[in-house]
Amino acid sequence: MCNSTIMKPIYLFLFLFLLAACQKQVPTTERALYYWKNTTNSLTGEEKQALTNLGVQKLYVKFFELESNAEYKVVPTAKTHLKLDESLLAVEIVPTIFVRNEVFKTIPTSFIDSLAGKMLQLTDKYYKEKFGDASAAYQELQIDCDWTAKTKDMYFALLKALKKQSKKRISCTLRLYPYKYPDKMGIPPVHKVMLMCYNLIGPLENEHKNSILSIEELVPYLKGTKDYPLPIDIALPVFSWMQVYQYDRFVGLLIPPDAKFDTYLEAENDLWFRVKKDTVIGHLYLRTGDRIKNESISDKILEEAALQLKKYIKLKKPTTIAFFHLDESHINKDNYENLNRLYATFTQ
Amino acid sequence: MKILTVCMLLLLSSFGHIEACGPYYPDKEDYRVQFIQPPYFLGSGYSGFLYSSASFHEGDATEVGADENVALWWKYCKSIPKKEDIKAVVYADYFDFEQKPSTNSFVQYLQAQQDNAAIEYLRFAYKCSVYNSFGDPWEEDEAASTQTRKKYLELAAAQAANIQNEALKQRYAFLAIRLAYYESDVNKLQTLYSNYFENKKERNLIDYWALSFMAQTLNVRNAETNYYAAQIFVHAPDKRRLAFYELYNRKVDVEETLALATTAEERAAVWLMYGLVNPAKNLEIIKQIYQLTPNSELLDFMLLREVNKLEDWVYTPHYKAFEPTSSSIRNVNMAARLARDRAYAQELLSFVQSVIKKDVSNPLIWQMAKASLFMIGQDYINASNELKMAAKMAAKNPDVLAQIEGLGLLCELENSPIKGVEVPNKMKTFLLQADDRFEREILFAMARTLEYQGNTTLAALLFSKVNSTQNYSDIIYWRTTKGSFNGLEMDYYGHYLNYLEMQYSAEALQALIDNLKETPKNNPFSQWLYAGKEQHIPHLYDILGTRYIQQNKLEWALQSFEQVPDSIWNSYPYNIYLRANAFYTNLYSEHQPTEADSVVYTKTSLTRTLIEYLRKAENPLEKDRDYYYFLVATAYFNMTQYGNSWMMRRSYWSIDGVRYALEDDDEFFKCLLAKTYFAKAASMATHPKFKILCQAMVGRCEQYRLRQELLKEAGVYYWEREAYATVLKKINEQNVFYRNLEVEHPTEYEELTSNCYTFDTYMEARLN
Repeated sequence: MCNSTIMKPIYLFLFLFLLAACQKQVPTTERALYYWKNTTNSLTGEEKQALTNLGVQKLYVKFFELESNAEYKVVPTAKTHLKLDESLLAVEIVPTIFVRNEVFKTIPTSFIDSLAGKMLQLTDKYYKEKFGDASAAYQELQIDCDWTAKTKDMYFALLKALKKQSKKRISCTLRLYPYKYPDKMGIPPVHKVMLMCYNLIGPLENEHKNSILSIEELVPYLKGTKDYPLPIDIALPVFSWMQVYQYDRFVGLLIPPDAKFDTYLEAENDLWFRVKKDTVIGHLYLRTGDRIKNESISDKILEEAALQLKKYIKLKKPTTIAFFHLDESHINKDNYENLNRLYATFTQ
Repeated sequence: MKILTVCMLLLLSSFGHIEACGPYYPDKEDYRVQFIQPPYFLGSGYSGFLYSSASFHEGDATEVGADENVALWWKYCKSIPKKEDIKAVVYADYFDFEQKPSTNSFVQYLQAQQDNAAIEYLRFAYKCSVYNSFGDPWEEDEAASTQTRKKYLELAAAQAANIQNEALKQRYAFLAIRLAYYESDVNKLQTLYSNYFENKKERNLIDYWALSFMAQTLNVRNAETNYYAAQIFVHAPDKRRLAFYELYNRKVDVEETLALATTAEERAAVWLMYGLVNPAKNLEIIKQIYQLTPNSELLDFMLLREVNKLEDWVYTPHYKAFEPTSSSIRNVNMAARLARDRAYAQELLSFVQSVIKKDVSNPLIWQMAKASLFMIGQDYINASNELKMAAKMAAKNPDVLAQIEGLGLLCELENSPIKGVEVPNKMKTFLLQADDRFEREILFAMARTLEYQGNTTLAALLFSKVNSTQNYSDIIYWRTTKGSFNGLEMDYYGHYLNYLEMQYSAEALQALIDNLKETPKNNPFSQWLYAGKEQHIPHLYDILGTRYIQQNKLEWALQSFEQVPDSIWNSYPYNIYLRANAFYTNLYSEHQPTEADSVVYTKTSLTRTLIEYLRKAENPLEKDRDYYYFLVATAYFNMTQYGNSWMMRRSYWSIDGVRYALEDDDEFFKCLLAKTYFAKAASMATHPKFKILCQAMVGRCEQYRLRQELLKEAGVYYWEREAYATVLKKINEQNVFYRNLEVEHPTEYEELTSNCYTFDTYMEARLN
């Protein structure tokens, strides 16, 4: 009896300690989607529904891409035409800029500050014109670039310049390779990174694996990797393709022209189809015996990926969980339930 | 022993040529085979549209367009000024016309003619050029530029209306059209086009420039725009890109477009565009163009594209063992496709032979095509004869002659296979100076041909030269003919030693070593051919010894390994990845370091010890035969995918396993020898606990065999949890060794398969 009384405060302490420990492991998540299209000027009804039904708080919108140009050194291309109507202004818009790695091979260091200024000027302009009123300002700017060890210094200099000039929260995308090998690839000078958990392998690298996302490929990047020194957000894929590619570089999609196209194919398994008759689709000459890989991501794989990410990465709150990308053909009423469950997985 | 999980292990990195680590894969254009080089036959105006695997063609015809524009000005000046002076003025951002006397012959001419109208036009064009874009791409000062562009548009239109000089009128009208385009003033643009350019009978470059802007303003891409695209493509080289990518719609029926063409030349242009977007066979289109305009350069261009296409379809798989770059994926029935494509080459050849040479624009191109098509069809005698004729026709063109020489030597090699390593003098001369990409591709093709002919020694010597002096950006890659992977899904080779390791037989390796050990002849070719051989021989012995291990010829392996100096065993990668006790395992550690690793083995010492233990194990007089069989089995186990000495059989390791396509793949993944010897140890063991341990190890080997076979058969992966668990259950059920053990010795079975500390106690029972 006496012992029991003495133990009570200890149990209580242990309970509180465990509760605190548990709470620490459960990050607060922000639900996000990427919007990567640049030819549309508004969201479709289904896409608007998706934002609402999934409780999306952040929308990463690609504002433009940067590519090398002889006259201007660097020019913005693939500019967004999207304009959100007022009903959606509650969603936080994160301007996102895709920078082609080649850009850093052609510009002088002295151009970095000026480039950062131009990027911010154009971002501000688009944000005010398309996503808010004249006084509106975004909180976060994200830069997407598959930098290499060779371009690291220039890219990081640009990130620093953006951080300094914008005085905003700068995030950048992070592929799994630089996540695994920060010593080699450097740690970008940003406030947080978005870990892109897809396209881990080239489409031709392994015919048995889904090149969009394979747990078999994902886990080795996560397992045994040191804690990354920056807060990590997570991006997962929700898209599919029939791929046409050149090894490590994806060059385009095979869009089946019509249902008749199926008659040219015979299925080998879930991933692979074999061409039965020579035919030209777009610019691609499909020959008898060619094989086509039709890749999509199942809910099961996404769930497993989420579990593995939770297992191996210490997520700090608030963590943003983003799906790539908002398009009614990939995100619609058929998968709201699954996507909601996936978002929730990170908070369970 | 460290586990390699992600990065490919680099064997032989000391040779200075390092295969890329990680997701790198050669670009298709890096391995596509192309022997006929169109730039030597065609002007640069086609550079962006030559045959290529790239979906977007590189190449720029701006200069060609500029030259044609200069030619118009030259004609305007009655062919008097120098063309380079015209270009210096017309394509400058600014020119000081006030400076007198001018040193520029074009300006001098205009001044002498008092052609102030032309000078004023040029001044005006400079001012307008700043506004030839949709404003500042960074959108920093749009309002000001729009205002100025509008002003210049009005001025240009007014000048076009008022000026009498027809040439300048046309140019002002074009400037106005271009400004209207960037001002997005479609009505203005179409009115200007209608007033100054539509329905003209005689057209020049400026007309097609104007057409290119007008066509872009049309709302749809239909037969009309395809028709315009075709004419622009043919007549305005610097607008070809625009015509192809912006205007042409490949979905439109060619017949609809042809209906709009009024002349043979226009119809030929329509066929040309249709052929350009068609990645399939184009013979029928070529025939159409020939019928319409036999002497056009466009026909030559299309023929060269088709020859290059066939080279890709046939040579890329034949020589490099890669799929044609136009193919989307591997694992096609390549032999059947090659036969069909060679048959198509024959069809094209028949057509080329039927063409009357005097009718075509450049007979040399047709002659080269003929020779090439004979080669593609493997008729090297006729190819050789056609090349000789081509050489006569190309007498003044050293670039073409160099191509002919290389191809001729390749034909000669096909016609007269070389025995031994003695090379004909002409071939020696060629090889000694092989430096540029084409020459090295021919060198490689010769090496591959020799390999196919069975002369593997000379082939290897040439393979060693393919990339010997090249940097990363210009490496020739190839595959093995059996599709071997050398780790992490990497099935391409750029270093001959890596290649030999995966492709060459023990006999071929031995013959190569024997040849390298002979004293080379004292002549420049031999010195070149055998340069650096002292460095290579030990590595070749390593590869040979490994091949014998793969064949389980231990004595032969030992003899080879003994030729490898310890310095190699003590350096990377062996100093990291082959540093373990191969005669120890404890059921669980596999690749993890153990205390037993205080004793480590090299390939030589491991093989020697294995032979010694095997001898003891098989000696009826030996009292510890069960123990030695156990050690032998352990070593064989450690030499598999799952053991600490996997480097005895492979240079690369991946957690997923790799499709090496080597003769001991079954052994490497299924532990067959280990299982046999553990079973022998079990049959001879007298100590009950040790016997059970041996039986457990047999079960473990069996488990790996079943995993390999049943998981592969089911095609499931570990993240497919339910399906994976089902197969694992099946594996456990089918493992008769485990099942018997479980029935006969349930407690020990449980201990040995679930407790990682029990192994040593069972082993110690035997040792004590």
